[in-house]
This record gives sequence, C-alpha cells and structure tokens, in this order.
Amino acid sequence: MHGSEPILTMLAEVVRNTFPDRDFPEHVDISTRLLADLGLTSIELVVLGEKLEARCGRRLPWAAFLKSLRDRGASDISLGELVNFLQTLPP
Amino acid sequence: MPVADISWPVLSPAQGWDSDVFLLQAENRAALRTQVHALAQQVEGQPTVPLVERAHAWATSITPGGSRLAVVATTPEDLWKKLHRAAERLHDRQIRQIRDANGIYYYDQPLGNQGTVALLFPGEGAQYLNMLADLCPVFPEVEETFAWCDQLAADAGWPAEASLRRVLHVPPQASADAVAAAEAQLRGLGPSIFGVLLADLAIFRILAGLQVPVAAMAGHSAGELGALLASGAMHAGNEHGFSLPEILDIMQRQENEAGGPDVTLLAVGASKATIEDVAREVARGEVIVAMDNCPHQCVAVGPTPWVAAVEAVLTERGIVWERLPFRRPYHTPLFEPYMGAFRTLFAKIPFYVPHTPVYCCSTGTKFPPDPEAIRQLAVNHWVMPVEFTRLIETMYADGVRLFVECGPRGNLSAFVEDILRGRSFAAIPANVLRKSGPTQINHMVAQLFAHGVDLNWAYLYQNRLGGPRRTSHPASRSRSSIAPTLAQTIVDGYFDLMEQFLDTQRDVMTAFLGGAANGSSGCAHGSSTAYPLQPPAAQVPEPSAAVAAPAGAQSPSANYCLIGDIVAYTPGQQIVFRRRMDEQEDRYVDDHTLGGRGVSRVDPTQNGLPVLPMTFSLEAMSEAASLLLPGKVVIAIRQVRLYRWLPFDAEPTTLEVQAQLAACDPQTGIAEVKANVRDLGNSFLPDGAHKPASEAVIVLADRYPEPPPLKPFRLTDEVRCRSTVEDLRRNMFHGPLFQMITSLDRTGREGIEGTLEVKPRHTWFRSNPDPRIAIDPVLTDAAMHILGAWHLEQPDWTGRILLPIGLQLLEFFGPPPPPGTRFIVRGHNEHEDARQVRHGVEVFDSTGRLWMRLTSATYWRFYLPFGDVNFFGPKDQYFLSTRVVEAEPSRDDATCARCYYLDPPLDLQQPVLRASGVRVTMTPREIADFTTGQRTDAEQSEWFFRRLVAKDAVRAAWNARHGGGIFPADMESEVVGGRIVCRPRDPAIQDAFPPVAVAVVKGQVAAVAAFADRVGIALVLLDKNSTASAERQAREIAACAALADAYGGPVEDCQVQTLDATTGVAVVTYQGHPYRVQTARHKDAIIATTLGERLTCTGANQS
Repeated sequence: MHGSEPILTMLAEVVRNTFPDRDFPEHVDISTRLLADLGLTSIELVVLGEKLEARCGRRLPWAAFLKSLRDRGASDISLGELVNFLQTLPP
Repeated sequence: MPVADISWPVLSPAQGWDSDVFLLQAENRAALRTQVHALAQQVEGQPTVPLVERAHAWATSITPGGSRLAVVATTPEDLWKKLHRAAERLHDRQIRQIRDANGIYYYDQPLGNQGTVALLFPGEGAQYLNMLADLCPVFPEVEETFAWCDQLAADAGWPAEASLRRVLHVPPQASADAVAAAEAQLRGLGPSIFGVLLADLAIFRILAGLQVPVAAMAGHSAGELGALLASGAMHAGNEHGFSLPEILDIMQRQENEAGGPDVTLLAVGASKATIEDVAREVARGEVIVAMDNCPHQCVAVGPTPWVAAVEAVLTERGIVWERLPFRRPYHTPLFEPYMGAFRTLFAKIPFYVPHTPVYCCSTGTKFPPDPEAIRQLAVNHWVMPVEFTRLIETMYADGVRLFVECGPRGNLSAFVEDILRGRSFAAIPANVLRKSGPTQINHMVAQLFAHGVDLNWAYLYQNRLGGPRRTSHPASRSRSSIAPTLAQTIVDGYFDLMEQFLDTQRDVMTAFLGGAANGSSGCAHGSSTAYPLQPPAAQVPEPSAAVAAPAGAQSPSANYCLIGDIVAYTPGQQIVFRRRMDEQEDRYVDDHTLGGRGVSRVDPTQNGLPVLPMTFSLEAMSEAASLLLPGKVVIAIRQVRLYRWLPFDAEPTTLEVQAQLAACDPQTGIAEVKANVRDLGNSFLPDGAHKPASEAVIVLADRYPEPPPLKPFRLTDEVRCRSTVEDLRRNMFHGPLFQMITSLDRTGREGIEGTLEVKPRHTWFRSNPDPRIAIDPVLTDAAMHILGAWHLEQPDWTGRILLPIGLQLLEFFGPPPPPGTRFIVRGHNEHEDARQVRHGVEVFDSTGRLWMRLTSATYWRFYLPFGDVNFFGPKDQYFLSTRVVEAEPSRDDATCARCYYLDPPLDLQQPVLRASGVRVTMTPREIADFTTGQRTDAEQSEWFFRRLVAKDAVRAAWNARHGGGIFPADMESEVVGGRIVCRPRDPAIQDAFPPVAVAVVKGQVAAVAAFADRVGIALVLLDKNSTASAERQAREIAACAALADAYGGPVEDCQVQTLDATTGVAVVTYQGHPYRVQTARHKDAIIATTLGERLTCTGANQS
C-alpha cells in the first residue's frame, strides 16, 4: 500500500512519457480525467495500460479494470480512480 | 499579471458557435510571442469586444508561411489565459511545439512544409446519436445534408417521424425511452452506414468551404465509398430506386430476424499479429482478423465457439476485448456467398479516373488509375479485410503528414495516432464526441493553420458578421483544394449513390439472412470473354457428401498433372476434383519432407515427414481454375491462406480441390476463381474433409500481362553472401528436385539476390514424365529459398525456422519457363516481428524482365529451444534440449555425466510438427511404435520428448567419451524394467551406450546419462514466486527421489542429511548409508541427479 501522492506523480510522469508530443496541464490532481481533461482516446488507455505494466514491472489487471469501468457506465476515468486501482493491487 | 486582477464580463456566444479560433502569425518565434502579448493586451483592454469580431480581424491579415500560433477560446477570459500560457511556452526555447488539447497549437517545424494533407472517411461504427446536430445551425450545408432525409420521407408519403433524421438527431425534449430507441436503431445496418456517409458528406462540404488542399483520400470500410465519391472515382446515375424509409424498414426487419451463420465479431485491444497468434493457437485459424485498425485495435470474426476460445486466452493474457453487437461477417470471405447484389450494383455504376489520388483500404495501396480495377477493388472490399494499418503506413511513406478525418467521432484519428506514434505527423479529427461540433471545427482549423496549411479563413465567419459570404483565397497553393463547386457536383452524385447502395444492402441482407444466393443463372461457358460479373448460382457441394458430376455435364480434358477424378463439374461455374495422395506416385514429395533431411548415417535416405508443398496446393487450385475457364492463363494468385498441413500417410489419402467462379469481367477478360484444397482425412486429422487446408483466389486472363518494372532494391550495409549454396541446401528441408538456387550473391538489410536455374520436370511423378502444369510449383517453391538464405545471413539464429502461412499476391508475367532457364532471384524484406516475417520475391531474366513476383509471403517463426545448434555445422551436433551443467551429478571426467532438460515448445507439440520431429530423430521401429500406439495426445508428446531428451543426454555423454557425433535417429530406445535404455542402431558401434535416467513432470523432461553403474534423476517444479525455503524443500524432495530412482527403492527410505545451499550438493541416506546427490535450479525447475555414489563418513566418495 502506498500513499496517493507518489502514485499520482508517477502516473503523471508515465502519461507525459507515453504521449510526449502533447501538452498536458502543468498541475493535475485526482479529479483530472484522462479523456475529457487530458484528451486521451480509448485506444490510448490500452497503450497507457501497457506503459504502466512496464513501469510497475508486472502484469496489471488492466483489462478487468477497464471492463469494470465500462460495466458501471463510466464515461471517463479520473486519475483518482487510477491511483486507487494501483493502490489496491495485491502485492 | 494574476488572473484574479481582471474582472471578466460574461458574454453570450454567437448563435451556435461556442468558441472561436485565433490565428496569430509573425516572421519568427520571438515576433510571434510579441503578437501573443499584443492580442492579450487587446483582450485585457477591451474585454467586451465579441470574440468572433476579434478572431475575424486577426484572420484577415494571414499570409502564407511565417511562424504560427492558434488558440481556440470560449470566452475572453479563456483566451487571455491561453495566450498567457502560450507566451510562457514560446519563451521556453526547449519547447519545440505546443499541442494542448484545450486549444493551443504551435509547431517549430510545421508539417505543412514537410508533406501533404489527406482526408480519411470513417465508415460504420463512427455513428453516434446527434452527431453533427450542433453543426446544423452553424453551417447551412450540414443542415441541408441531413434535411435530405426528411425530403425522402416526404417524397415516399411517410410521416415525418419516419425520417432517418429522427434517428440521427433526437430532439432535446425527447424522453429517455425515445433516446434509447433511437440509439438502438442507430446500431442497425442501414442507419449506421447511411448515417455515417451522410455525416462524412456534411463534413466534406465544410472542408470544401474551407478549401483544404487535399493531396489524397482514403476511407475505412464503408467510408471507402465516401472517399471514392469525393475523389471523383465514382459518380452516380439519376434514377432513384426504392425510397429510403422503405429500404430501411426492410433492412431493419431482416436484422431483427435471427438467421445466418453463428459468427461473432470481437473488438480486441491488441495487434493483428497477436490475434492471429491466439487464433492459430486455440482456434485452428478459424477466427480471422477482419479489420486491422491499428496496433492496439483489431476486429476479429469467426464461428462463435472458436471466438469464445480466443476470448479465454485474451482474458488470461490481460488483453481488452469486447463482443460487438453485430453478426455480419463483413470483410471476411464468409460474406462471399452473399455478394451477388453488390456485384450487380457495382457493375452498373460508372467508375472514372479519380481527380485526387485515393487509397484502397483492402490493399493498403493506391487504387490503380484503371476504372475497372477500381471497381473490382471497391466491390471486393466487402469480402477482404480492412487493412487500415497498412493503408496509413503507405500514405505516410508516400508523403502524407497531415491526416484530416472527414467524418464523425474521430476514431480514425485515434487509429492513426496509434499507427504512427513516434513519427512526425498529425491526425486531426473534424469531429469528436467530447467537444461540440463548432469547437472541434475550430480545433481542426487551428491545427491546420499552425502546421502552415492555408485555408479560406473567411468561411468560418460567413453568416456571422452580417455581410455576404466571403471567400479569402490563400495566396499560394502547392496542391489543389476542394473547390466548393466541385463539392457541389459530388454532393449530387453522393445522394444518388447512397440510394443505390442501400438498395444493394437490402439485397445483400436478403441473401445473407435468408441463405439464398443471387438468382442469376451464372456464367456462360465455352467462351473466353463473355462472363457476366456475377457469382454462379450453384454452390460447391459439401465435400463429405457423395457428389457426382451432374448428368449431362461435359467433363473437361483432364490432362493437368494434378487433376484426378472430377466429381462435380458445371462448365464455367464450379468444379470439384479428387486425387490420391500417394507417396509412390507423387515422387516430388520425397524431396519435400518436414523436419529435414540427412538425419541418419545408418540410413541416409531417412528424411522428415513428407507434406504437400504449398505451391502444389496452388498448382492444384490453378489447374481447377484453368479447367473452369479454358483458354485463359493464370496471371495471379492472391489471398492465399494456409490453415493446416497436408501430410502424406503411409496409406494413400485423398486430396479434394473445390473451385468456383467468383467474378469475370467481360471487358477485360479477367476472371477470379475462389478455390480451396483439403484432404478427406489423414492419420493426424481423420475429419479433415470439413476443414480446408488452404484457399486462394486464382486470377485468370486471356494473356499474361506486361511485366512491371522491378521494385527498388537498394541494400543497406551490402555485403557478399557468406553462406554457400551448400549451406542453404543443408538447412532447407527440400531435396534435389527443389534445389534450383545456383548462387547466393549479395545481401543487405533490405534483402538478398542470387540466381537459379529451372530443373527438368520428368521426375515429379512416377507415371507422368511430361506433366502439364498451370504454374510451375517446384520453381515457385524454389524461388522462395532465397529468403531462407537471407535468414542464414543473420547473426542471430533465434526464430529463424520459418514455415509459410499465407501469401498476399503471386503474379506471373509469362508461362512456366523451360528447364535450363536461368533467372536472377531477389528476396525483399517487408516486415518482421517476433512471430512472423513477411517477404517478397522477384524472379527475372538478365534483361530485368519479370517472370514472377511474390508479394507479402508470411512465414511463421518457430522458436525451437535448441540447446545447441549451428546452421553451418553438421546436424549430428544439434541438441534440441539444453545441457544443465549445474545439475550434473559428478565432475569426474571418467563418467562423462551429462544432464539435459527440455520444456517442449507448443510449436513442436502440434501433431504434424511432432510427427516430423519423430521422423527425424527416431529409428523405423520407434517410428512404427509412435505411429501405431494407442495413446492420447499428451501421452504421444510424453512418449516422444521423453525419448528425445534421453537420447540427447546419452549421445552427449557418448560424444564426451568417444568424440564425433551421433544422430538421434541412429540410437534406438526401448523400455526395460520401466527405464529407457538406448542402443546403437549402427551395428558397427560395439561400445554400449551409457545408462540414462529420465524424469517427466507436467510435460517438462530432464535426463541424465553417465558411464556409471547407476544413474538417478528427479524433477520438481516450483511456483514462479516460490520462497527460498520452498526451493530448499523442493531440493530435498528431489534429492530423495533421485536417489530412490537410482536404486529403485522407495523414496520414503531416503532422508536428507545435509544440503549445501551454495553447491547444491545433498547428502542423502538410504538403508543407513550416505550418498551424494547433486541438486540445481534451472528456470522454475529443481533437477536432482545422482550416480548413487556412496560417501564415507568423511564425506569422500567411496571407491
């Protein structure tokens, strides 16, 4: 279990490194949405999942995570949801 | 200046417009920053000036070139903030570009100077409720486009509620139920295709108004029609057939009725190669990729049970997938039987040379300029996969840098982003879900402007500033723009064409859902030119059914070399023939043995498993096609797919070839025949009759075409080939008949060049010394060997065992050449990834005249875990399993102890490949045992790999003591007292082989052999994340088991006394005496071995 701030910082870094040709807001927080605020597309969420796995050095249940969001009708993903996803991963 | 210091007024945006785009330009970056400050000061000083007025004022001063910044803003405050941020970013010289999705765009190196602009037209799947509705009050052209739906309904006498407009654009006051109903309708066939084409057209009219300088166009799936219309390749007649509401009603009713084959469409968040990999692994290739959208999205189609198997693997691998709510197998061969209406429609539509180049989504290349060729590709798009990834790669290679998506939603832009990630390009959607229509138009304009593309800026302000429509003419254009007048002429044709298209859709769906093909009487026969462009009425009979040539049917003169008994034949339409696959008669197959050749010194004629060469399947299909259309020649074979091997059994099996005329153009004389090849069961696949082994489309014409120029062949890092022809022959599994390569000359990163000489054909068959052929299957196969030579040249040998799985196009520019003909042969590298490689081949004479060209031959890469391999060395030194030195029980050179381990790869467990492995590593008696044994599939694998690893350990120990090499096939194993014993097959070898012990756990095999009285081994598998204590426990268990194995005693009588964690040496007591056991970890396995060495009380071995 890690605090949310380091994970948020890590997430922001991964997003910037994954899409280096974009200008993202200088300051992001847990309410920042990946699609509406950062302008990512659904395909880019898949790409982001791959990069997160590489960063974490392990396979993540990313597909299940995306499916759970879809199943509950979510139209976007906030960084807070991502932080929570990473925090609650089994060791 | 802090933002909070300013008091911003709240302004109402202009009617329909919720943002404006500000275009700033200066001589250089520093001057541009000054301009940014100037605009910010204007906004700050006069915050009440409407944005539109200020934006228009700045736009009027734009001239070509310069340093450019564009900002999209919704309010003066928003504009001021963005300008502030832009100024900061411009001040930082490290920042080379600004691409802020909120609406700030700047590029140090604008792409408009580096390449061209292309339009991409989306197809079905891009629709969404209320798409472009907010553009209707802003652009009259958009409103006019959608209003056409209302007009159609009115003309048909339908109530206004029946208009498609009511499905596409739901009124704001609509109830939740009404919205849900509209969404459901929008997923239907008609509304989805028609709606998106309407939206594409509406956007196209906006782009025409902006005078976007378009250099190329392309469409995705049904969007290709939009591209063909916009490019001028298609016009339409003036006669309307059915009214739209009626058509939609019929189509929707058909959709609602269940029926048709049980197929499922699956969207997958992975690459085409990944899907194909999984499909081949668990679905026998029954699931195919219908749309290759981008590296992270494909659409796969297949029978529902096979799709379910694919889904299970995808889930296991953590790959995102989702079933699509469609059951129509568009873009797959499954749709072929229902294409009659499409082909009829397209035959009536005139095609023209396009005024703007347009790319084809089936081939990924430009449509040819020939209108008839365009027609063929356009109609066949519905049965060919969408190759969007390849399309974009080609357009990029051709210089396109700015891709503007001319339609709703923005899906294609996301695909392009994924395909070209990391390269210089821009994918700009004209419409997206998450921004209003006007605002996204502003973002599109902003990005084009920032990239140096000049537009008719005044178009944005027409009807907004009180004056008449104004047109600014960009000062210079390097390319033609979409002129409004041209757009208008396209509009007229567009509507007409869409009506016809819907008409066709109805017929197609009738055929598809009802299972009845077009009622045409089919092709005329007996003439080489008069074939209507329709599929034949008769269906090819089920192969398992008893079929016979219809009464009265005239059998053709069947003197082609592979034609056997003709069991069904309708001249000009379809043919089915069968032929015995008999190793005694088909002598060519002796030289085509999977697994290799030269595998035994005792019997130099022992080879691998004889299998039908892919090129003989192509020859068989070509002969069938040639019989259907006598007088024509085979000029090409395309869409070749290989699904399974066709092995030659000891007892002859039966080959069946089915061929059916798919299309024939009376004007060009070019015909297409779809064909497939299967056997009616073999020892590996008794029910093979239901599973085609390969299929292809055979293209015939009245004469061979003139050959095109050779492809560019510039070799990076060019060197002379270091491999010899002998090296090549030793590493191919082909015998002398196929060995036509005569020299290997030069090679480089892009390919390789050599020469070949055509060999005589009189030895192919036992009873036919002068075979009549349609193509030359041996020459065609032999030409591909040049590709093997290229792989031999590579420094890494991993994954260099290749077997063909498909072929996009094989073209012939002349008849089969006579024996003795010499050719130059070039291998081209097209694509390489971890699982597949794709190559091209050209065969031409010394003047450069092509005889044959092969495009995109795909080969599967096999990763056999050779523990020791040397492509340039003798094959008796090959070891499939890996030596594990740390697990060897003794360092005493006298025992020559050797331990080997193998985790058999899935590739080698596939029955045919496993059988080929048996053929090249086992003796005849062992082969007979394997072939006739009544075992399960898993037991067969264990039978084989257990012996193979035992042989590796034994021959390694033998080699260590005696030197030289022994082939596995020259050792015979038998089971004595539950243990494998190996004996020499060669009676000249007098010395006994060493004893061997083998352990098998969950398919993994370890073996130890040594010149000692006893050998024992045990294998324990660990969990991947096992702890140190778990590993130690596993070593102790394994040590006891190995000693028990050596002495044949119960493991319970063995007890570990000590275990040295550093050396892995365990001291185990058995019947009161201590013994030495070596343990080692190899990957996730613990291997323990022992020679049963009894230790003294001091720990020394007791001699």
